[in-house]
Amino acid sequence: MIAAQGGDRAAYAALLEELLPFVRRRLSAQLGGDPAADDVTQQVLLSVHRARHTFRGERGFSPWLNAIVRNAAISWRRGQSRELARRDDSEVEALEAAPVAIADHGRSRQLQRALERLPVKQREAIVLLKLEGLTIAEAARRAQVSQGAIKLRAHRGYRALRQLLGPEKP
Amino acid sequence: MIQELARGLTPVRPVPRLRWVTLAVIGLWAATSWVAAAWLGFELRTEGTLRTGLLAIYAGLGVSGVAGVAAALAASIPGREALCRNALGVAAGALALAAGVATGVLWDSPLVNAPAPDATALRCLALACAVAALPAVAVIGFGAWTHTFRPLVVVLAAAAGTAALGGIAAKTSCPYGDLRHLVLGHLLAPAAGALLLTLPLFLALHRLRLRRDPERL
Repeated sequence: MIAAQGGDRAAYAALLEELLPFVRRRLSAQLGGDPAADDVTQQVLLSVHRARHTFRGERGFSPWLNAIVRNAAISWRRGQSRELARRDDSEVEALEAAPVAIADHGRSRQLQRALERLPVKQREAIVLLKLEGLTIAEAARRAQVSQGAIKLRAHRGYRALRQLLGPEKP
Repeated sequence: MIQELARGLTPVRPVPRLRWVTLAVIGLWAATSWVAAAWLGFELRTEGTLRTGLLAIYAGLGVSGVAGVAAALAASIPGREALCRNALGVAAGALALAAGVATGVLWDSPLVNAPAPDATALRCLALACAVAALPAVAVIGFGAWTHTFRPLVVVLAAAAGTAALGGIAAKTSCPYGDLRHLVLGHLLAPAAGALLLTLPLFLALHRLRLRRDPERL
């Protein structure tokens, strides 16, 4: 990093290559396996680039980098919460109004497999809302989280399912 | 993306050590205070000023101010969160101690001067915030330069910290030494700074960051 501050491009490229998998792993853990971890990883690399002049050699590199990763994760989560709060609740209402009758869908096995690939919390949210037909409030109570949190988990799970299953809605 | 970043790499100079930046901001405050006092006229009454209780109030404001500035600067640097938290703790503790001394030690003391009219407290608070403005802007400038990830902490700590120092500076042209005036017109300076300076400083920081990096925001 000190070499990079001095303008050594080869050292800088090597450093970023080495950081990439570490940052991706950390973000994957912090974001609960959300596919957005790749996007946020890129944000972290950009932030490292912009804030490289704030690193001082006498302090460890890890605390500096970990702070940037942590802040990127926090910013992303805040952005997601804001987006979800702004989002038209019609999607959520549709979730509440139309519990999936799995037997009616030829893709039930595919859906089941896709559900199993979701992170636990997202799967739980979708199962509670779509399969058990609970309202947002009831699902939040059952999962012991806030209504905002259950909405967020369901939204992420729904998005992940859409990617796993292709363009058709489950 | 990595190759792109490496291709666009230019040498940078690391930020100075935080202690020097803190000293620079304190120096700016001292210079601003001197200019303000010279313009308004020195009104430093020594009679009663050196009493322990009053000194404790000024010391509390001073420690709180320096710690607040240090916290704001630390919040601008990734990885210095612990220093920021500790400095905020010191700032709050010093202010609480000063308030405790003001009420506990000086409560039964005879008034140094005749009781000041309440309007003078507003004058001193306004002066404290005015003196705080330039050092606060310097702290914000540092935060913009470092692309701080915690703009709200930087702004709040800068506003309250520099206003605490401003509360001391306001005393140099303040003839009143009674307890009520000291509490309302000087000890409340950090709160007044947080109330009055936070929004303009936040907007200033936003503009500076936008100017430095329009794509980011």
